[in-house]
Amino acid sequence: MGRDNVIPLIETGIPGFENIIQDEDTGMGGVPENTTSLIYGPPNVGKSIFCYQFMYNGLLKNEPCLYITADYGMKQLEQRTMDFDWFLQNYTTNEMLYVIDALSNFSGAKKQDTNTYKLTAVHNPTDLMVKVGLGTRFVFQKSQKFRSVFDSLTIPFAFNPDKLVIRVLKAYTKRIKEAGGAAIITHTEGSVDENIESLLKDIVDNVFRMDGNKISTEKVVDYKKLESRYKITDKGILIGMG
Amino acid sequence: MLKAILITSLFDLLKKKEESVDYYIQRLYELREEEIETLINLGAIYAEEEKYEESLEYLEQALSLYKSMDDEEGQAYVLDSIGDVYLNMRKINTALEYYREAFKFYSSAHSVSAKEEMLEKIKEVEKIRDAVDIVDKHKSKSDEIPPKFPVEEEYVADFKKISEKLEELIKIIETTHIYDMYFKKKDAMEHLQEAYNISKEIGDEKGEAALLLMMGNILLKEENLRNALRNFSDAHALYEKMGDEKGKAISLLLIGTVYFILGDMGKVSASFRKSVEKFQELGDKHSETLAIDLLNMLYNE
Repeated sequence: MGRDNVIPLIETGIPGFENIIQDEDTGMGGVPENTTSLIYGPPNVGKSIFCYQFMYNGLLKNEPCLYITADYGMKQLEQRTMDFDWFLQNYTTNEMLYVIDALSNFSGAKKQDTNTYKLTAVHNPTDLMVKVGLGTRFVFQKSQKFRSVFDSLTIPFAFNPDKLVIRVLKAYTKRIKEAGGAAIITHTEGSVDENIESLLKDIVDNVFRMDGNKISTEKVVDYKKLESRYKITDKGILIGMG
Repeated sequence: MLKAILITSLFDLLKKKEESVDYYIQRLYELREEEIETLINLGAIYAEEEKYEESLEYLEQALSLYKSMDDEEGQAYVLDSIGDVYLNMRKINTALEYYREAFKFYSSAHSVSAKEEMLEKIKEVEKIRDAVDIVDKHKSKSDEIPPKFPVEEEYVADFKKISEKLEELIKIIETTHIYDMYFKKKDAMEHLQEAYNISKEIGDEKGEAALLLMMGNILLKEENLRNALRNFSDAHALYEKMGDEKGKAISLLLIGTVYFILGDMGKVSASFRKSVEKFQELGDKHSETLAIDLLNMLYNE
């Protein structure tokens, strides 16, 4: 493959990940720019931690993030990231982090919309997508280089017909890519039937599987497929350390 | 030879005559049926054009013909139609008398389903009458009996007030809660339209139907009745497709409201009746009460 045709990479901020997908010429690694990636695997293997790390690293580099939480609310997001010493408050205040919270409404938590925090409901995909549209425009205006996370598809699948969630995902990835962003989407393996899982993998550009011990690339644009061991520490995920 | 031929022809003629009695009786019956059908159609057209006297005249003629044929089911059908005309004229008590008469004939003719439908229609129209009576009693400050329906007065709708009432009804549908904040925005219609386009894109039929109702209500408020009716009808079709009984009942109420403003009382009655029936089937007292409130408001504007 010619060097000129290779998609540039963006750093994930996850130590060791840069060795899994690496530009041989520059030695730089990360995920291909302006692509969408699915991270899937069994429950509790670190998929959400991967998302926090990806988001936080972008924020540190002044890349805004559009974050969709569908499995937990804003409060939990702040608490969980704080466990790794990643503090979101500043980024919320300076409007670098735009959160669409699809769960707090559902769980009855009393929250109010702000410029960069929007409540929606997991069983109301149209409203979710309206807010994705608003959020994408907002982060794009902040910076043409931005990140997005959709964590995760498990609850949307539980409350909506499978095919509707697939169409939501298609619309989401289309909007992020059109605006020039890079997105990570997570999914719990086995929560839908194989055909739907296979459709999910077709929609995105890159597919990574995490199983609690190793992370492997099942599909990746322009780069070689590799796998490596990983572990979860109090500093987040470390890849290739075991 | 010639004599033999003449005798043969006469027998042929007699034979044909004998055969033609049944034929002409049947033909006569068909002609009467055709005449009645024509009279009923004329009655319907005149009712549609709000020429109620002419409508009643033709329907009475149809009724006489059915009487002469001793056709009970036919009589019931025409009596029901005459009742509809009186309902359109907002003469609710007269309409009820005709409906009750129709019910008797359907019962006598053992038309079970028609009889049941008639009974439901009577119940629904009685509810409308009772609702009007309650409000009239509250309004009446003198001993005089107030006129129940201002037949001669032209109906003037308070679109803002009706729209507010419909908003209450739309909010009964769970899916609409989340879109409530769109109403508060300056360009509510624009926001709703954007959401509607997205719902179509992702195939979210629940969202699509809810948004159609909400946009329809804004159109109604803007007195754009035809488009409001189209939105409500499209939403009803979607709820029907999804098998969502509550959504169907709400959209029928909204459809009925537009027909009320347009003055098409036959359709008003059908829509409201079906809607209230659904709420009763669902055991949804809250929605039923809101529906009756709406009727109260409309009939006492």
